[in-house]
Amino acid sequence: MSRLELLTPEGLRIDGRRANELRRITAKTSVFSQADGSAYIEQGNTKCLAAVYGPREARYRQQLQSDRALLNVEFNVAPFSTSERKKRSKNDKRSLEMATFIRQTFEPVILTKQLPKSQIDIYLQIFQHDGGVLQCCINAATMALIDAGIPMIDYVCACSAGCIDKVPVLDLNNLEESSDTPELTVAILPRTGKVNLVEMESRLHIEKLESVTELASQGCMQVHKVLDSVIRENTEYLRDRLNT
Amino acid sequence: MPDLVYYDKTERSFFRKTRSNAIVKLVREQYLRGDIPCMSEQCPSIPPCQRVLDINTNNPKHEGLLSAHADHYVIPDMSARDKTLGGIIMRYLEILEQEELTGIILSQTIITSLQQHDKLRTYRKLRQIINDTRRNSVVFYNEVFADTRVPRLAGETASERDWRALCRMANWYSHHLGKPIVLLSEVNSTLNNNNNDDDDNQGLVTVRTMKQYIDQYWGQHTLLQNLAQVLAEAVLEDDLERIRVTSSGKKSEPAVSGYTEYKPMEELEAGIKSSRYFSGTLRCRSGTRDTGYVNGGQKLEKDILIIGSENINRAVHGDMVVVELLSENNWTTTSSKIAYGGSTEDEYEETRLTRNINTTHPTGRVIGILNRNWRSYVATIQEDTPSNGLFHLAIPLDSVIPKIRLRHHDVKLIQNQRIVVRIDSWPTSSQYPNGHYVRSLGPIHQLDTEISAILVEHGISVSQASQGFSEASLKEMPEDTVATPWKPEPNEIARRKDLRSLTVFSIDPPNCQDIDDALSIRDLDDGRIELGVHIADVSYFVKENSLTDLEARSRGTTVYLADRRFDMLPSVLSEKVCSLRGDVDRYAVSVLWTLDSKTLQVLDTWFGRTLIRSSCEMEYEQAQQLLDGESVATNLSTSLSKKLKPSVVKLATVLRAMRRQRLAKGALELESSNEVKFKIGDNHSVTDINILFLLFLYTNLTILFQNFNESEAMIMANSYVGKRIYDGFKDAAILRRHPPPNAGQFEMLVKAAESKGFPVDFSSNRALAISLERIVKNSAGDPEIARLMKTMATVAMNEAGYISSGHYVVDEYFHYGLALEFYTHFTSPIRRYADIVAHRQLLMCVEDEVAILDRQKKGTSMTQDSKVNDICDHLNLKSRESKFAQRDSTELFQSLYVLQHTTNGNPLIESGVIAEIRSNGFYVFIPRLGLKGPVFLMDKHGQPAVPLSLQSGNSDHDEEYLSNCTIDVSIPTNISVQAATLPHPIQFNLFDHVRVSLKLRKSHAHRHMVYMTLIDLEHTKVEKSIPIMSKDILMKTVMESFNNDDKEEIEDIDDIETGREVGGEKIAMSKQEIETRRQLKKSTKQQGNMYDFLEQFRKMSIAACSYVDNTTTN
Repeated sequence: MSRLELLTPEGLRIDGRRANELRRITAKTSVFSQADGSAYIEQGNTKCLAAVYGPREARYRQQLQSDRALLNVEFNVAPFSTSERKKRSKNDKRSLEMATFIRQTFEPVILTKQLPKSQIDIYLQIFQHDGGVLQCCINAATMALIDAGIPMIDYVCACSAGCIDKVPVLDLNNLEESSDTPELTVAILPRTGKVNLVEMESRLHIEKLESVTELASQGCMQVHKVLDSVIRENTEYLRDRLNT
Repeated sequence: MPDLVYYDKTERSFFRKTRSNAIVKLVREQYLRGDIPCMSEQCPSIPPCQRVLDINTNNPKHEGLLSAHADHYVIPDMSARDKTLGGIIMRYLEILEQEELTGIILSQTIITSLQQHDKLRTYRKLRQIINDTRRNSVVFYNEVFADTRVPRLAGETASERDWRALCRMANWYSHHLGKPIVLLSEVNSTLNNNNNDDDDNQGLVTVRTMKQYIDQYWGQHTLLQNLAQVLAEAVLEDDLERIRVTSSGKKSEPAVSGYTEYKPMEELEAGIKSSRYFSGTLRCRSGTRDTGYVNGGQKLEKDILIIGSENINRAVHGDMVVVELLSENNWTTTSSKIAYGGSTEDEYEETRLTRNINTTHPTGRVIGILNRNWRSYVATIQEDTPSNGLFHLAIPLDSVIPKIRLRHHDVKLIQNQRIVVRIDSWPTSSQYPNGHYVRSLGPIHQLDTEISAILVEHGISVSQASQGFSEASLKEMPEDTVATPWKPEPNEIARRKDLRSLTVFSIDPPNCQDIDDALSIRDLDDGRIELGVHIADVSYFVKENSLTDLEARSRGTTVYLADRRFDMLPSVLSEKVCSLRGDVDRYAVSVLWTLDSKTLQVLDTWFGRTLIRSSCEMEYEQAQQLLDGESVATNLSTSLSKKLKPSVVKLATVLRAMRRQRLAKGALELESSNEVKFKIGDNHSVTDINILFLLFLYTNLTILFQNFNESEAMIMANSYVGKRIYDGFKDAAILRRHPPPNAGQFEMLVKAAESKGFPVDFSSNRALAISLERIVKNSAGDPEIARLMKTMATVAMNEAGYISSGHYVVDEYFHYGLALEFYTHFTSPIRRYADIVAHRQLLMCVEDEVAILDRQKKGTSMTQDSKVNDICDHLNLKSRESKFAQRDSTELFQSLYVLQHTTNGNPLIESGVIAEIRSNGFYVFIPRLGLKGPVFLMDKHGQPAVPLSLQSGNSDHDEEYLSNCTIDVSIPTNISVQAATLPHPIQFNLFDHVRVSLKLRKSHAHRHMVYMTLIDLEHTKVEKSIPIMSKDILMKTVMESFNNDDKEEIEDIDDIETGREVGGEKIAMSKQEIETRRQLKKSTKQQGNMYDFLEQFRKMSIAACSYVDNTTTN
């Protein structure tokens, strides 16, 4: 089998991007009227829908926390999201782990202390899977939370970066991910630049860690720009509607 | 962070079969860009498009852009009528590879298509063309460029779309640059313009077939013309074949003797994945081209044997093949017979093969080929070919390659010559592969022809073989003539550390021209000692990516053959400006250690560029004399001797003490390296390159000059530099590693040693060194045993090689032979490219001004792991090939020696030692000539053929054989012969001394081969000192007779030159080449002083050194 050249000597990737370029991001908020807040995001061919319910009364009494809100994340991948149809249960290990990552990312950002004895539910659904699922979910969740009007200290923007032939590469797609490229996902708070999540499951040379992390956080800032403009646009639209 | 520069996003979707044979649809994004550069110097945009790109990419390509001076650019196409052929790219790759063709634009369309069809080898070759900045060729990413992208229409085939894409790209280029563009295609002859809006550029884009193109643009170039002609014929033939096949509806010619068509690729891949088939590189053993083997991988843990030409099924040595196993009752054992009519092949492979004989091997058959690995072969037209007819058989020099059927209109022109041949194809209907004639090297059995043959066989480039450098690269060189000698520049003097006041001297063999290392030592004020190693500063003159640098990189190393050498650098550098001669100012890169005077601990190390003035080019002998307490050495003035003596003595004491210290520390470092050194020194025909190169210079030094141990300083310098560059560039440092051997590799040695009663412990390098030392001590009466044993140990070990540290784990950097954690090559930049890389890396580490400046100005690839790794791979290959070339040339001279001593009918009788037992005979090592050759006890049919002389003791009877005898073999230690007429069986044990008569098997298609017949066993122990004839004398005798022929040969060359027109013979030899050859001849001739000449020989022959050593110690 031929090994594909993921990064040509001229610095182009298979999909025509350069090493430090993101895939195209399109996003939209308030896609559902049922949910309190919702968002739809496409990062290249990875497509994710987020719906936020809450703050609302906690469903189970025993989970209720008297001093803060309870955060609940459910993550689901559609069986038709990859080229080969594969049913994944909501409760399989990967999905649960992913949900935990996301919950832990948002817990310190949402001002839960202001909403005691309540529950916030974030439902995430992947429709098409082309790499970078975690970052896509975090970005979608941020937008949905903002759309729901839940108090947060900042956006949470996530982006992944990897390393192909010793060159740091931004925003891996499925093809690049699946050929043993180490992938690092970073989520940061863009205003302060604080890192909220760093996740990596493969081996990466320690010498490269710094440059890869740096590239990923630069990517986060770019993501922030896009998300921010979408949110502002939506807010303006809402304001216009209020005024009329 | 750049803003997004892509214009649009599209999607590419296609269907693919998965492992479980399900068909799935895959969708991939495709971003269309606006910033793909045209990569031309002539780009009309302001600023030029590649400049814009520089900001965005890490490694911009600055050199090798499409030249502004070229009158046209070429875009090759790869579509073909038949999928298996692959159009221009595949069929005419050889022409594209010719250096004359420049300005090739390779489209992404083709690259993608090559990758999809698993033509990775072709892709790599094309990449080489692109990477060679002299070729001014580039890759253009037309598929991701918004202006040139062509989507596939409904109902359009992929190849139709590809052709449209290429046309679109050609049009874009002609628009953009206003230059003529030539589209090369064999299939399509018209441009597809339906999507082109304006037609005013029509005249600029033309479509040509390869032949038309060559005729139009290269009409004067005979070599290209020839190649095009020959290749076109091959294509035509294939086409005819196909037409015949298709028109008759079935195979027109029946497949020859069991050849079968290969299975389709999908089936092979599926088979390999499910472990039903095995894949690997086919290797054949010399002389037995109908027996091959493939590494079975982890599942079988044994090699798969492939026996018989029908099972090998048209695969050639070196091809990547797919093998299917035969049923187990067909499995056989490997034969350990000495092949008839083959040269001693790679001994490492050989031992690996024979290691587990007598066990059944899986046996298989080739059912498909993943990758052909055909190269240029040297061959000779079969002797008794009828001179009429179009097709002839050529026998390759390399006996593992099958005969090649080639087409030539006049065979008389190429008969009795060594010719270069390439294989084109091998259809099932043909017994032999089809090939074509490329060029002639000259008449057979002439020294020059045979040497060129060696060079071609080992892939040594034509430019190196002709000792030439292009004019442009010579222009980069500094000037140094008698009238205007080279002088350091004032600002360089200011920049460098000035060590001219320091007493620096070099110690080399007599008449050394390229002195690349020098030493210094002095006491510092505070009682410490400063030890310095000064290496010629080649990297200052050879800037990265300059033409000289590229040429040197592709040469990789200076090649030393028995009688000549092929330099890596132009002689103005290697012999003049870089050579650290006495009494002139020279640039150097120095390593200075500050040592504690008592403990000799290294307190501080300094690296950097310096300016030195060597006080003296000392010879070993002179240094030795000074060391021995003489106040004045031969040929040295009194004052100079006085000046040098304290330094020399001091240096010797310090180095000796340091060595002792290291040994005491338990590291046993030098001990182990010494061991290996001697081993290598003992048998020049050791194939293992191993430590050879590093020992190449050190052996000479240590052995000839043992007290002094200059090598200690060099090893130290190399290891410190290795450590330093590793600290500087953790993931891209060029290091030299020597992996430790595993137990299986020592099996032969252990058995052999046990037969003589020595235990061998190879658990660590230290233990091994100790056991070998014990063998040396205990076999003092018979030095050959220890010598052979060490050779076996060396062969058993792994090869040392260059690595880029990023490609290996930290604990794999270890150098087993030297027992050093870090090692690199730093001390011989004049003759090894690896050292130049190490120099550059070191200088960047220590932030040398000039190095940093160069880096800023031009960028560097010396710190990129992938680039360094590519260089390492290339250098490993080159040093290996040059080693083989060396060995071959030695064999050539040995056979010449034997030829000269047997022509008058006198037998050449030598005594030797049995070095290896095989099932039909044994190998005998003759220490006097440094020669290892086979003695057969059975003839080709397996019948015993034991010479009668064993019984009678009369050497005249060595052609007559004992009757009715049986032979009992127990490998690897004993072979015994029993016969009715013998009172008791004759035993041949490993390491027994025998007397043999040397003979030459003459051959037309191969080099003459030395073989031996047995005279008798030497039961009496040999007298202690065999009269040893050094290699030098051997060379001398050979060369003396050659000198007589010299005149004739010069005339021969003249003949060739004039005879070109006369005979219509197309000898592809440029005037320049002839000139250099003639000069070479003259220089050989003029060397009335044989010593000069022998000096050259010394460089290649380590064996010689050990002999000298022996004679001195005896």
